[in-house]
Order: sequence, then C-alpha cells, then structure tokens
Amino acid sequence: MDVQHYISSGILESYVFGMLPEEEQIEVEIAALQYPDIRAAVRALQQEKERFVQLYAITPPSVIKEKILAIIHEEEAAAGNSMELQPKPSLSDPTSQQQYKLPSSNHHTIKPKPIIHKPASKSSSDLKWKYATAAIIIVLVGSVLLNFFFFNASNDYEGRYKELIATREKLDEQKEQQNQTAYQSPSNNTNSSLKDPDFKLTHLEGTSNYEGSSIDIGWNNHSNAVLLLAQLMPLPPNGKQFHLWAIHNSTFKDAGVFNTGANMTKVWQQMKEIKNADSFIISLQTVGSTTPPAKEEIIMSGHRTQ
Amino acid sequence: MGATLTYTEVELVQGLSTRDEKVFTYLYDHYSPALYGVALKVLGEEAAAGDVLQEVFVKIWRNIDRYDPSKGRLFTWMLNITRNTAIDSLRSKNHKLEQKVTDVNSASLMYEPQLAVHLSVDHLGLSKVIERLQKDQRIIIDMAYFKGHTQEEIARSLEIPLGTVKTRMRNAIIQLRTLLKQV
Repeated sequence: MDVQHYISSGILESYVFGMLPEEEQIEVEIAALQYPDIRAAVRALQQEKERFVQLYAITPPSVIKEKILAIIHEEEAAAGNSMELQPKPSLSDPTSQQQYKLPSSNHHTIKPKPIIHKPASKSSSDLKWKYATAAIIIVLVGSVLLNFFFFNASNDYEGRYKELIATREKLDEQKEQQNQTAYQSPSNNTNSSLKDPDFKLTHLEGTSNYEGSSIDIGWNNHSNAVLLLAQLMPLPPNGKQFHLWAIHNSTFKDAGVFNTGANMTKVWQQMKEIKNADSFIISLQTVGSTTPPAKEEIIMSGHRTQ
Repeated sequence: MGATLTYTEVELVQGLSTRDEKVFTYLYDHYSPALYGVALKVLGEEAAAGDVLQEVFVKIWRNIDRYDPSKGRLFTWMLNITRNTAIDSLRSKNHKLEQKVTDVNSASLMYEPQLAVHLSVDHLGLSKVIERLQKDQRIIIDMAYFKGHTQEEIARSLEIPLGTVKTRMRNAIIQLRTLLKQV
C-alpha cells in the first residue's frame, strides 16, 4: 500500500469526522493498526477534532449532573430494577448493542430484602376484617416474592456483567498464551495489584516510526512486580520482537518480551520482576535476542513515576 | 484542560471499570462542556441536548469495557458516543429526509455567532476560528460531523462528484488545522 497516497486521499479526515460507511471505517481501522504512519495521522486528526469541538464547549445546566449521578447511584445500589434504565438500542451507536448480548451466567445466592411480617389482628371477628386481613397477607406474600424476584434479577444482571468482563479478560489471556507460550500470562489479581498504591504507572509515547504508539508500565517497588499494557502498539515486523528493559545506574535489566497488536490493547501483561528502575525503555530487537539493545534499537523510553 | 488533569487516561479508564464514582464525577466535570456543546450543536435545543448528555454519561458508565484504546483516546470515544446519540435523537425527532436539503441551504446560518459558546471559549482565544473557515469548508464539516450526513448525501446536496467530497473534506481540515495553529 502507498501509505502517503492513502494519507493524502482524504479518507482519514472523512473517517475521523464520521462520514464513512462502515466497511470503509473498518478498512481505515485495519490500516491504522498495520501502518504506524497512518495511525499517527489518525491520532493527529482526532486531536484536532478534539480541539475543534472545544470551540463549541458550553457548561451544561447543573441539574443534568445531579440526574446522572442519581441514575448511577441507583444502579450501583442495585435497589431497583436496573433493566429499566437501559438506553434504547441504536444501530449507529457503538456502545449500545453490548447490553443485549450478555451471556447467561451462574445463579448467585442472593438473600431477599428482609420484609417484616406483622401478624394480623386476632381480636377482630368481623368477616370484613377477616377478608381485609387475608388481602393484606396476600399482598405481603406477593411483595416478598416480587422483592425476591427483582432483587435476584438485578443482581443476576450485575453478575452477568462482571462475568462478561471476566470472560473477555480470560479470552485475551488465552490468545496471549497461544501466541507466545514463553510469556507469562497476567495473574488473576492483576487488577487488584494495580489498585495497590505502591504501583506506579509510567507512560511511554513512541517517536518517529512509532509516533502515536503508547505503552503503560506499572511497577511496584515493594513487590518488584512489573505489568505492561501495550495500549496502542502495532505488531513487530517479521523476525523482530518488542522488549521491555528497566535501566538502573546505567545498566539494563531485562524485564521481558511482550505481545502487541489489537488483541493486547486492554491486557495487562505480567513482566519479569524488577528490583530497581530509574527508567523504562522499549526496544525492537531480533527474535530471541536477550542482550541489551543498541541505541538504534530503542524505540520508546520514559522515566519512572516517583 | 490538559494542564489541570490529575488522572491519566489509563487511570480514568480503570477508575470507570472499577465503578469509582469520584473518577466518574471528575470525568463529568472535565468533559461535559465539550460533549454538551456537540449535542447542542447537533440538536440546536437545550432540553434535547441535556437529555442526550444524560444518556451519554450513563452509556459511558455502563460501557467502559467497550472502549478500545487502539481506536483513539478516551475523549475521542466519548465524542463518538455523543455525536452518534445526538444524531440518533435528531433523526428520531422531526427531522425527515427532505429537511436535509433545507439544512444545506441554511448551513451557512448555523455559523452565526452564538454568544454563549463564545463566552465559554473566549479565554482560549479560539472563538474566531470558525468564522475564519471558508464558507464551503464550514458547510462540509458541519454536514458531516454535526448533521451526520454520508458522503453520498453530501455529494448529492452540494452537487459535486463523490470523489471530491473526501478531497474537499481534507482541504477543510487542513485549513482548520492552520487556523488552530495560529491561535
């Protein structure tokens, strides 16, 4: 593909400003993953669009914020029937289809909301009161059942949502293992590790050929664990591999090889443990190479967050 | 906006994934003016734009796992949701197919200065940028981005060949880029 011709054809501008039919959109997305120059051009255009829309920025009425927060509070509390709050499905909206594709899940044992059952009055012998009491009992029993039903339904929805996320993470993990068995797959507690305040994130941005690429490194200087997220990084050329190195006192420490590409954009990959690091660098080296990279092999670098 | 950021993009995404309301509130405070501005520009009506903004943030909260960083930054994703939701709303309302023709004819009017918008962006010194875009370039960006017209529709409305639409769009963005750089 003539990359420069493609970039100057106007297709990228049309893509970023949302006027391409779906098949052409996909074509651009694939090209952007394959060619760093195209990806960089798309990124630059997206940022221009971001600046452009700021021209129209206007503070919304404060009541909207309150309404939104009330909705998400309600959802989180799972007190009601959260299914009611779902937006209408929309063909052109990229996010809305997901809600309708949730897989079935295991049923969780949920305790129903406690409902206090008051005994009916014994003193009344009047037939009318008997009927009234019977009606109240029926309503109460119905209420308990409904509470149980809705509580279960809303919690089941939460469970399925979580399971969907877990399933996806698992699939990503499996893909990674298939690609390169030598790599360590991320442990199940990756997410909880990242919440540890000792975990510091270092963001690396690519330059020249890797302009627009970005990688995040999480390093815990107590446990020495290192995690890497190849957020936006193409596949390496044939016969080459991307390698993470920590630098401490001007010496290179091997932190391992990692996967990149579309499947890895959300997967935190567990790297080799590092005791000390002043900065992190990414190199592009020949497959199998374990020696520190030459200067021209270094494609990204960043000082670690203090 | 960048200067005041206290969360990195990854932290924002992680915060949303872990249902952190503090992160969500931060996201709202920082991005709602831009998103509301887009919705307002598409719909031209505050109440409808407010409804769209509400729907958009609930979608962001629910669907953060659908965000794919390989396609762009979080802000770009949120903008896409906003634009699509607003255009859906526009279409589902009273804007029938014939009205698109009217829209084109009145497209230049859409760029009449809006006091509120200018007040909010004057500190950035950007308010004159839109006015400095050439009329036909303003029209094509407006039709494509804010009205959601396809290339075919634009070609038909402007009576230009389909291939010219992309070239003209590119020229419009190049001019916009030059103007943004001068600010």
